[in-house]
Amino acid sequence: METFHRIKNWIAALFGHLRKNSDLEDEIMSHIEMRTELNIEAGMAPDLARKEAMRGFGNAEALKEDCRDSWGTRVVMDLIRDIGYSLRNMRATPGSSILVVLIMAFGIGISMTMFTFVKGMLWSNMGFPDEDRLIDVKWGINLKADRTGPHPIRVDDYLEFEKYHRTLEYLVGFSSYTPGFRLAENSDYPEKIRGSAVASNFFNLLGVSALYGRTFGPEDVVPGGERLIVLSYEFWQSKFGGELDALNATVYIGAAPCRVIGVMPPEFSTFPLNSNYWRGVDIDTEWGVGQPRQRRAMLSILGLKKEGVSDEQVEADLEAIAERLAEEYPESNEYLRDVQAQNHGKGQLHGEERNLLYALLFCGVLVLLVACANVSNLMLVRAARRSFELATRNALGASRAHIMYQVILDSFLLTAIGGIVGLFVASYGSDYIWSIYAPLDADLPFWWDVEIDVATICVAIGAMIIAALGGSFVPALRGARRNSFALLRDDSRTSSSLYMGKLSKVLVGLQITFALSLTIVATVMVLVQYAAVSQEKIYDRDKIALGFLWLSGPLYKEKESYLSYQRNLRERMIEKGAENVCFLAAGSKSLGEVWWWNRFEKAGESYGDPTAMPEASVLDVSPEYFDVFGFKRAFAGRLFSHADTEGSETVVIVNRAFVETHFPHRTSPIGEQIRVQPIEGRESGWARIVGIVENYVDKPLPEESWSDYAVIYRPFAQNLVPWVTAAAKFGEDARPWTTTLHREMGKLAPDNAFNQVRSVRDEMAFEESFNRLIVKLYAFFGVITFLVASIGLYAVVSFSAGQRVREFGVRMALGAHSKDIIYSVAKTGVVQALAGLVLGVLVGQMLAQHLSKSMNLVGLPPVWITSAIAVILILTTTAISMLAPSVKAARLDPVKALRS
Amino acid sequence: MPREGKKDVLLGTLDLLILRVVSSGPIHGYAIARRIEQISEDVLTVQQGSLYPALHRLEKKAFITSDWQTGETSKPVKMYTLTVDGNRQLEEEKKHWQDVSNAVNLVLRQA
Repeated sequence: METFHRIKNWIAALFGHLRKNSDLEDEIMSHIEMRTELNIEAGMAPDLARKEAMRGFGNAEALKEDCRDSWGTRVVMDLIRDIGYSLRNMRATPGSSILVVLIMAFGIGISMTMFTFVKGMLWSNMGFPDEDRLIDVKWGINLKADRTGPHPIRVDDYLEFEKYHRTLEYLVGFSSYTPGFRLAENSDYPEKIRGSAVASNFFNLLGVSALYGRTFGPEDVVPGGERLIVLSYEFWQSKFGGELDALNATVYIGAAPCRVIGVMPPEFSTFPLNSNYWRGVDIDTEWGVGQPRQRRAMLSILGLKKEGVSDEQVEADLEAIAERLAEEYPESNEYLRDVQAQNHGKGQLHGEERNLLYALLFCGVLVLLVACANVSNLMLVRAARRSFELATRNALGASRAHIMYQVILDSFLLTAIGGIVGLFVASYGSDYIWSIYAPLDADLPFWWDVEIDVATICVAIGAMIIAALGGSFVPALRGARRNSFALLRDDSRTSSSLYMGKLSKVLVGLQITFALSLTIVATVMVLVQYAAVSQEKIYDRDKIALGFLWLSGPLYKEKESYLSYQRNLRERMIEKGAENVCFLAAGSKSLGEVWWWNRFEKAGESYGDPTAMPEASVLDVSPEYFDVFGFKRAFAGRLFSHADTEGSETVVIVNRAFVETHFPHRTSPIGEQIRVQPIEGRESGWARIVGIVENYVDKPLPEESWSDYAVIYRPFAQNLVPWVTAAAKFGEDARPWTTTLHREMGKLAPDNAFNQVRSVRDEMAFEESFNRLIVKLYAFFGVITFLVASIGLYAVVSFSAGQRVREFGVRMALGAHSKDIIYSVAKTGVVQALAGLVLGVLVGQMLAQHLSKSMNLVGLPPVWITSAIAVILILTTTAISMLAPSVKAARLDPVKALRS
Repeated sequence: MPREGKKDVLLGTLDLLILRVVSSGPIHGYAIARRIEQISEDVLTVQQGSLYPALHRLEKKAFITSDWQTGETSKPVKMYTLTVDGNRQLEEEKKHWQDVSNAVNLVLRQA
């Protein structure tokens, strides 16, 4: 009861403090009046009676303090009073207050935007109970710096894993695809709707039941049996209007009828990756068991680990099986021994992308550090301006702790205001970045959540506390020094101010170090990524349309049908107006240039370890490829012809970068034999180099990057694969023709999965969206860093010049010229800048080197270029930010300055 | 400063005296001081500097409550009333005082 009353009183006291104060005043007044009346009754004159009553009452102020103490809200009230004092102090120094708020808003805003972005992509949860045990299983092949990431697993290897694993509860194969989807058999134009063909035990993985109807299990999916699908909630809503009639409806996927048996709940979303529906697959007939090994399907594999099993244990378990397979099938599995198991939710980004995101986060932290150094410096200036007041308080008995508390509170308040503004900036910033990025990524995991949440706010509060403390601790310590006598004796140009000046210089140096490091990293990133996205190609990217197709069924299995599909499509497109059409064994990421980094052997050379073999990009192309993609002629030897088929001699064409890299001392490698290593079952024998073509990049390549552009071209007909890209060249803008290409592809292969058709330019924009976004972000970092750094430098130079007004007055009165004053003000800044420059270049280059190594960046600009750019930018910023205060100081009227 | 012949209320007994005075019925601060002086036949005096903090302390402990009432004069005065908890506290403090004063008397008589 007592506790309840105490709390009630405390709250009442907190919120009704003013009322209580006025109550107390009234009560005291009423006491004095009663006493006065008694005195008057006793015969005193009214004035005297009141005076006597007041004297008798004693020290009312002390009494009030004692009463307030008894309310138990003194700490809070003191805080409120101190906050009020700090607010008044802010109002008295609006310039530096606004600057601190602005700088903190930038610092917190940028770092929290990055944190939100990175957190959303790296640390979002799917929301399933067992998601920690859910893993992706892939071959971990370390190709050219792991550029292609881990590989999917072939169906027969999956079946072996599925049969013999011991560390998993389930191992489930699936394949995301976009076949033609029709609601009725007679609709002639199938829609492109992405779904997943999944093994029959797929729904056992997470144990989630259907919202309506049911899911399928191993007993439902049998060879030759009815094809069953389960719809995602969103797809059911959009396609079937949320009607329960959808259950048991028949839809057509490819040519085959499928019965809808269930609808998954909304939280199952599009698991595992953008699936609108899930179709149970009969592995024996549909996934190519019984076909030659090189034609078997590739699967994505999900596993559910047993409780307490680590990823490493799963890898060891499956690698034991892989070892056996490698010995049993050396021609296809010799190099497939390394299994990679990675959490499904956390493993959507490969190493380079993760590093890129960490680098962004790190740059966000650097921006925050620049902001902290700035704030610290401004707080020093504020404390220096208040040194007289602080010394007076000290002399009047204020404790050192209380003075420090005042300075720190000042910083906390400003940081909090800046931080709140910063959180709004972060909220809009992350939304904006996401709104650019999300629509461009077709494989965006559904659980990535780029929103400001409680975790972000907690991190932001932590960052604010660190920034506020970091920004004010040293100024507070200096401000609370017990040298009130010296301070009070002197004026603003005191020994204390000089000391603050030294500290200020160190901070400016630090700030320049951080800003320069960040600028160098940003410059490297922007130059590398810009070079990657703005490469000039030998072909006109506006005039080529690309269409991607996954051929299955008879069209793929029967070689003649496959080749005649290509012939027919080519003829029809040329009839419609295309100049030429070619085919590539390439996914959407190739753009007709780079497909797969493979190791290869040169005849006559022995390699002890397969990893010692050289690497090159391998691209399988039809003979028309070279015309479509702008290779005028063979630089030496010949191009491919339709005579290069499976039955003829195995041949390859290489490009100039390949020759420069791998045959640097030969006049011509024509006639040399090379053998590309089999990867994912695509065996290849020894092949003769019959031609050399130009590089696909239309610029001279620096020697150190030759190896990045080395390509081996193989005849498509000698290396048939189900995935094929049709590229049609037109004499004009290809965009209007994409519909025609799409329609013709659909007509010739209505039952096959085909994807979007785009011009090369649009496709590049799509594929490079991530890179472009990164370029923009780094460029943005650069701009913000300059902004924050220049605001900070301006503020410090301006305030320190402001403190020296009287000195300037004296100097000018003694005959100093304006230029001497400008030199005097600017000198301080230049020394500060130079101090940070050397350290900044060193730290920045170390960071850039480390980042580029961990992200396998190629085509790094020379160190001196990035250093020079960054140094020039920073020096320019420094000069501009110091110009205004210097000129202002030089224009001072000596008389006014001396009077100030 | 107490007038000559008057003593300040003994340390620790002010709360007891206030509770006892307030237990007679709603009463304001000035009257509490006056009543203690009157009942003690002007032997005890209560300083305002002690009285009001004590009242606020007791109110915070919920032994008394207060509200503004218009009394004999037309001006409103802040009246204090004993709560149930306050009554219980008064009984405890009275007993404690009895024990202490008996003990002190015993020592004075027999030492």
